[in-house]
Amino acid sequence: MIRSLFLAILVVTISLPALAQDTTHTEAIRIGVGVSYSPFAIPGDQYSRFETAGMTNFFVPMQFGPYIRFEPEFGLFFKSYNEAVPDSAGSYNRTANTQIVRTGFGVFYTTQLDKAFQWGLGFRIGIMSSETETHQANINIEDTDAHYAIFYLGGAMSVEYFVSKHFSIGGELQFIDYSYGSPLITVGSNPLSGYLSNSPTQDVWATNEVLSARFWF
Amino acid sequence: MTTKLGLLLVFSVLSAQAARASLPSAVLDAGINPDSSARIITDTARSASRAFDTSEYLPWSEYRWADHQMYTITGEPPRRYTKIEPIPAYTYLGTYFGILVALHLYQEETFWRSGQSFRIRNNFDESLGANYGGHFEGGYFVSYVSEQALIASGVSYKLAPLYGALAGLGYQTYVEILDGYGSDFSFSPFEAYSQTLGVVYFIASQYSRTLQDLSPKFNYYPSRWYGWEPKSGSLTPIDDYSAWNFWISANIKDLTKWNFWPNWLNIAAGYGARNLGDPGETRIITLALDYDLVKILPDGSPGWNWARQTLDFVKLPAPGIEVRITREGKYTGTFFYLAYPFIKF
Repeated sequence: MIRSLFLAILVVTISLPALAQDTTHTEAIRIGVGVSYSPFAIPGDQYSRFETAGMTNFFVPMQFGPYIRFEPEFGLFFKSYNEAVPDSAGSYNRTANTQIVRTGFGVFYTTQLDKAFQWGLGFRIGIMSSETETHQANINIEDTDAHYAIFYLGGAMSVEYFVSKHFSIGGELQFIDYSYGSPLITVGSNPLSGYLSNSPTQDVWATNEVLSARFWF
Repeated sequence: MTTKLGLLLVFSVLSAQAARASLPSAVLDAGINPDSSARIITDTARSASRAFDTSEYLPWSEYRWADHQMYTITGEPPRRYTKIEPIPAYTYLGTYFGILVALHLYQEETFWRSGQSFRIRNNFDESLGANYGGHFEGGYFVSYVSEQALIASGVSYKLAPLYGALAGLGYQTYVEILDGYGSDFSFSPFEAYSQTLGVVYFIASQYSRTLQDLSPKFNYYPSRWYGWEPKSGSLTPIDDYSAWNFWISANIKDLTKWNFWPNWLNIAAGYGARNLGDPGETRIITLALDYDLVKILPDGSPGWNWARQTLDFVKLPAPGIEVRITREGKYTGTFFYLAYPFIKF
């Protein structure tokens, strides 16, 4: 189903310019920077592998003419963990480093109702990657690397209020599918230990709301 | 993968051009463009016999790429402001979508024939980096073809490159995501980054003449034709990165303004890989002469002019130098060619 949905969205995306009929003298191109805050963590992340990767995102809004907005987004999360593990010889050190990266973009068909208010319909798509490397200072225990991925895709409706020409605040209601993939597990020095054939996967549909602020150049 | 898509798109757009020629035109024949130089009138002779209202259409003299004329599929200059003409739009965009669906079905039978849950892969140096060149140039080329289809549909010269880039990014992302669901493939973050970079390069080139002078090009010649092995396990020529070279071709004349340098002669720097997946995997770094097909090939009908402009993405055989380095980083020699990659000195 996700493939068909994806293809349909692609077709709609490329059709959007055709909807932008006569735009005489209003084809301004504007670029800005923004941040968004999503009030809860990633749906379905019961093992906290993706933690707060979705809590704050940075993005670069680009308004291409009156109708089309393109918005790349990214979010980062890094965590280091260190502990001394007791054993028969005293203790050894265990470290775990986690990096979570969220990259994606949104495309919206926007309508400017008046000078200050704009709303839009569109979609967001992206990847979240969570990788944890564990190193133990014990020759009997091999290092491990676990790499998990989420592919997310869904529709969104946005509203935005321009406080001034250069600053706006907005909100977005999303209905997103989070598809959790099988992890790539590497044990020891073998970098291709491979994907676990019987690893669990899950798929989550969830609504989500996002608050955002944008500065326009 | 994306390069094949591009070639199909070119073919389809040329087909659509034939259909377009029979459609009624909404163009105003309102006076000769006062900005056109003699050179421009010569280059666009067939379309200049019809004049265009410069309040609606960009003068040909302003529709240029580095030091040469740009051409459109229809032979009409781009619009200043978007005015979608429904029938051409349906013709071009319908053809475009038809190709996307056809490619989707084709790839369902090859790359994605057996699927599974989404996966990301980490093997950065899998194809010695040649795949990143392919994705970079794929992003650029699909953006270009999309832009040209949009201009033909009535989207303005200002917005068409941006929408074309969106279409390029959308298609490339779509392919990469579905690779993530294919059991023989997986999503590569670095491929996604490189194709995004190709799209960004396309957009940046619209505003930078220096980047216009540094054009992405590619060539595909089956590697057995010149003594190498195809990539082990490749399913189609598209993913046989042992047979591709990816280039940046520098317009020396425009960059340097040297009087003695022929304006049709470029110098291209390239990268490729050979024998992938087999013993003897080799990185290929190249430097070669290159030709600007827009300047060499004769002026003609609008369709022909657009075709030679688009064919200029292909790097043709020319004198060049090749440096070989193994996967382990060992230098194995420098080779001189009369016609790279076929005729060696």
